[in-house]
Amino acid sequence: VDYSSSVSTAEMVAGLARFISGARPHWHGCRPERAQRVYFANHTSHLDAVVLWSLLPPDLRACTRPVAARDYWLAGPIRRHLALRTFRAVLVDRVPRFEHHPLEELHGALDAGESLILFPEGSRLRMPGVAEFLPGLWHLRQRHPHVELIPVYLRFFDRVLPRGAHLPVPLLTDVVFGAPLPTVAGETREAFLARARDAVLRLGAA
Amino acid sequence: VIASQDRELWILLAWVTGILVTVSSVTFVLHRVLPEGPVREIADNLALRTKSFWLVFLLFAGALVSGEVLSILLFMGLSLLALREFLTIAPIEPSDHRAMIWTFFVITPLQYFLIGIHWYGFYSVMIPVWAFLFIPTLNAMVGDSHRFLERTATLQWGLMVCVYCVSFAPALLRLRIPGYEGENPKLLLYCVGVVQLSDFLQFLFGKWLGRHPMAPRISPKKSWEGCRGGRADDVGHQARSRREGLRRAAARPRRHAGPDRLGRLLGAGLLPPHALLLREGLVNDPEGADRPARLRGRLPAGSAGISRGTWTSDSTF
Repeated sequence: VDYSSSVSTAEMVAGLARFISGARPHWHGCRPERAQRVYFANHTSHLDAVVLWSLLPPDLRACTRPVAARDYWLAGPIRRHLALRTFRAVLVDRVPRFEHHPLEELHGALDAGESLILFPEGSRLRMPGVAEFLPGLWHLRQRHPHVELIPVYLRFFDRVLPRGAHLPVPLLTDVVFGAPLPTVAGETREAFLARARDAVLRLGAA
Repeated sequence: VIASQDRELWILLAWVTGILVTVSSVTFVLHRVLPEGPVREIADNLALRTKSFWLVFLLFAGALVSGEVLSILLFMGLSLLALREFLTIAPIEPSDHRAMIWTFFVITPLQYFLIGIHWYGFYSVMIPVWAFLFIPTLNAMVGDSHRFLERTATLQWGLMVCVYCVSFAPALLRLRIPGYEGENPKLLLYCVGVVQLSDFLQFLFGKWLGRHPMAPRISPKKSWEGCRGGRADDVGHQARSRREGLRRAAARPRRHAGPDRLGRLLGAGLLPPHALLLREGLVNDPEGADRPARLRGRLPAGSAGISRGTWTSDSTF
């Protein structure tokens, strides 16, 4: 796969995503800095990954890759082009295959020094609220303890493009970036995942 | 792009430019000269407001001198931005999605299209009658009865305030007034100018003399003094334009007798628009207590947000 995405296309797509979603970034707990990070957020619509990506400054955007579902993003030529060339998405299988663990791709990207955008709830919910997190985030933290985990809360995205809808309504949305998740020694997997989810929820309540 | 032939329009535009240049320079100097403190804060706030006036003025002036189509498109853009702000803070459910799609992509453009082809008989009822019937039908067909009336009313009145009322501003450009052909852009400029100036004076008077809050639980900064200050300016304007309207009506040949639309239109300012101006400031105050904290500070500095501006221009009618 050729990853040499044209910068101007990326800028255009990012600008369009910002315009349609009316999204404003709120950097509450961290700054947009050149640190290796995993941004993890609540998942509400197909727009999530693209909008979060588009709110990063261009130099950070160039080394930050959204993690997205392979079957959705490879479904058509436009999506395919966007996912592979523009966002440089890390595509994962929603249904795990035996020969290849989906997390391997994520580990590979982090090993290469890139940042990720991750939605640890897995697939989107029918109900409002934030679901329990899948354990992927825990494995990433174990293997890459130096990478900052940044909780992000996406507000109003479910109104712009609710589940099942195809045409977005141009309302305004908010994206809140929180402080990096601190390391707690000897924490169990469940406690860690609950704490990460709590960090996202607290951003939403603020 | 055809520049307007109306000499008075150019003179007016030159005047406004002059005033803005003066205010901008004064606030710039004040910022440099004054020590930090409450007085300088007022000067800085004034500078921010002037900046947003510049933007408004440049947009309007550009649209006005280049013709009707651009003006209509400009107001349609304003309507869409206002609607976007309005619906973002309104209680909307995912099941309103289809109705919102119609609101944004069909009803609003249709209203401005009707203004553009000057179909008065339709554009005056399309939203208050047809859209008002259509939206509840659509919501019923989507099948969500939860808070049905509230959701429907929110969309209906969003359309009314952000689209219907605003669309009558560019309709001024096509109003046929005997003896006044080709000079209509001045009416629109007048309307916007009065509203902006009044907002400006309301702020100044409120800062200097504001003692008695009008509705402190809704907007702590709105005061009776500021309201009177803003009104004083308008009454002056309106008295003058009323005289002008009557003078023109008197000068008109008798065969044009009939309702004196110009006098009525310009004199319409003598109706109490300030009850409405106040309503606007209270309802759509970005710093107001009714705004959820998350929405404060997301509007451009110095301007009160699109929806507030459109409320203000509605109030002139």
